[in-house]
Amino acid sequence: MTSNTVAMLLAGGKGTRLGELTKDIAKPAVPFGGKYRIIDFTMSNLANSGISTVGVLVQYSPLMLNKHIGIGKPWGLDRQYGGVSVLSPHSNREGSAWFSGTADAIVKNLHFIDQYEPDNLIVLSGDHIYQMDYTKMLEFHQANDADATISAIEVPWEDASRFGILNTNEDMSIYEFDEKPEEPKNNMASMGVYIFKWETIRPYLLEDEKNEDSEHDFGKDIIPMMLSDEKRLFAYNFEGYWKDVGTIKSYWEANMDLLKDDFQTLLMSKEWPTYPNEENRPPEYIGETSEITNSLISPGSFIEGKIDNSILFIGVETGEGTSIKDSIILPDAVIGEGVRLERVIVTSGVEVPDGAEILAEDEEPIVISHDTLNDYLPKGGNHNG
Amino acid sequence: MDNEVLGLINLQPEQDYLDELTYFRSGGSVPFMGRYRLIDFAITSMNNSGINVIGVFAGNKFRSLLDHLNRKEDFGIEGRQSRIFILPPDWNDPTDVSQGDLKHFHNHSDLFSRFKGNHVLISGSQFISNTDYSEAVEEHIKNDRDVTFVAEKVETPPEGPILRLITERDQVTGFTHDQENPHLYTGVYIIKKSVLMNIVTFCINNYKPSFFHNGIREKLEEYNTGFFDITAKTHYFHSVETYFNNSMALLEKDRYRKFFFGKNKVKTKVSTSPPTLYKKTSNVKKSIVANGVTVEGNVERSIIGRNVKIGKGAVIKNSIIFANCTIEPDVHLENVILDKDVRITEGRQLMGSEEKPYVLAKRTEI
Repeated sequence: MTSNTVAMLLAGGKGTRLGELTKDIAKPAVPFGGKYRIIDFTMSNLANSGISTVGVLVQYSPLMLNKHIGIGKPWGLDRQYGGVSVLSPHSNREGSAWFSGTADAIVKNLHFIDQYEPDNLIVLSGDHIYQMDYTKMLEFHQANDADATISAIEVPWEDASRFGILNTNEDMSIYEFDEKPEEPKNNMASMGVYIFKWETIRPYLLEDEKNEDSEHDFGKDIIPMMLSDEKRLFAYNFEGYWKDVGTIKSYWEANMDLLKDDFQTLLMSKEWPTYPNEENRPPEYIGETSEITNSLISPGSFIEGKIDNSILFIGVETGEGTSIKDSIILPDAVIGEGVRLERVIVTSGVEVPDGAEILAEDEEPIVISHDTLNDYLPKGGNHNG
Repeated sequence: MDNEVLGLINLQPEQDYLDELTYFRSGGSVPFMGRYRLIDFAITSMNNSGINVIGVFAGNKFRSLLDHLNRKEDFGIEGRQSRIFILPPDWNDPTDVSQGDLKHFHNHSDLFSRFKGNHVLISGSQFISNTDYSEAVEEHIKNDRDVTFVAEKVETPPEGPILRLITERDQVTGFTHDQENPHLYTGVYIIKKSVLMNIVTFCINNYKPSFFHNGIREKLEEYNTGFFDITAKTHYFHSVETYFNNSMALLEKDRYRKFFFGKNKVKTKVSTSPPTLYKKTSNVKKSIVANGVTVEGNVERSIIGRNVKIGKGAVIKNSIIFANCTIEPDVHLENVILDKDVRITEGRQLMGSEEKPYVLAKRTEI
């Protein structure tokens, strides 16, 4: 069943609301959970679901993402037939253009999908944290003989107006797709996971491409058009952990979720492993003065001081007398001695000098990057170069 | 120097010194420092020296070795022309009368004849370092030597069966077990391929079982020899005690850093497990902890391998725990080495001494 399915993974997102975290890299490539990147969850879902023909659509700052995906080895996608292809915007005889919407990105790569003559197209987003068996959704899609199936998850009512809401009949067929409604009729939100019957969706995509008023977006344009044509659209109810890491705060929260007993399967599951693009680094060194509680530590690290409720990525070093709480330290950052950090995110390779104290005063975590570090250090002294 | 030197890791003559740890694996595949195996260091040093074709004479008990070495890229042996050849016992020649490790040299002679370069660097697995033999090779070639022995000079010579060099000017005239001699021989040597081939013929024709002892050591005066002293940190393994002491010595932070990060990181098989999870009740000090581990108990001066689970209230001191062990709550371990897949049930206490660590064989449950 999975062999006649092509997956298109949208990984071009700028992730503007992630600020410093996405300054130089695309959102799906942002480090997550100690030794992973955000896209690893979707890539692992594909690997674990046995979907082996995957197009990864890149656009914004794709260098790291291209290198990370490579030929798909960590996810078993280095294949003779199918496998993973990184698809970037390109020029051809008709001209050249950036991807201007989710549907547009697919249309501009129709030739990629056509070569496999798939029965189904599965469209995914590379910036969500979740573990999902796509084969179950495919079964549901085929059992309903659906033209399109959209996976949905129950969200808290107060958040419903931030999502695309699926209004369904009793048999889960969709009669309305309500994009960010002010007064939601229910709380079933679209997760941005779509399965389409390829022969049905193909003409819609081509039709939409001609419409100059369209935003070329699946949620805003394609789905409503299919609904008005009374196509068979179904909502697939997903139960489990799902998080859109769209903001600094949700990024911080999703990382912290990894420390909770309830969500241990996100990284630890043997049945549904999450595969990083692993590096060859020595096991972490835990020093004489360390006190580590409720934290994740990654290889290549040298740890001293007090680490509580925090996530330390690969190659991190922390000094004696330092206290790190509720924080996320990205790869190869060096935290000096006698430093105090609370509710902060230190980005890759940043060196926090001895004695620095950086504590977030409210809910919003502080992001410390090469550019913002000085804003949080005492002015003057020897650092006036 | 690329493609001029063939790497050979000869595990055949190595003894299975490490008691329970070498019951089911060869010395080369004994796990070390959480995620490595002893053979990794020989490969890393060869890789550091620009060697990109390596043969491994696998001797016996090589199952874990085959699995461990199955992706050469993990060890930095990269590119189309690079190879790691694992050569298990395969006695295919019916007229073959060779003995000892000559059986390997004879039956796998294609390894040498197909290699285009003129020199072979031979190493075992029970001496480890993260070093670079390039200079040694340069000197070997520059001085047109038949054999160059890689050695080191130490301040306080260690006791034990480590061979030492007797030298006269730049020539090596003999080997000794004299415990006072500080010129330790690492077991690594660089030899001209043509000389190697002649030695193979000589040994086989004369029913000699040891390439090194019969072919080189007993005939030193026939060769133009030399030595090269390395300065990198080294460790020698010849007993459970030395294994234990070497491990504990690397718990010193600077030493660990220098040894594993060095100029180049030590390479090993890349495998995937999640970051280490330290739960609320964990208390870990001065230890090396590999990935996939969940710690709820206390760990001090210990080395914890992959995917080990350490329960609440458990105490692990001065110990080495191999991968996939489960330490249930309130267990007390001191000076022990647990091989893979061992389970210690709730409340048990096991203690060895620093001189004589207590070793539990693979898959034991207590």
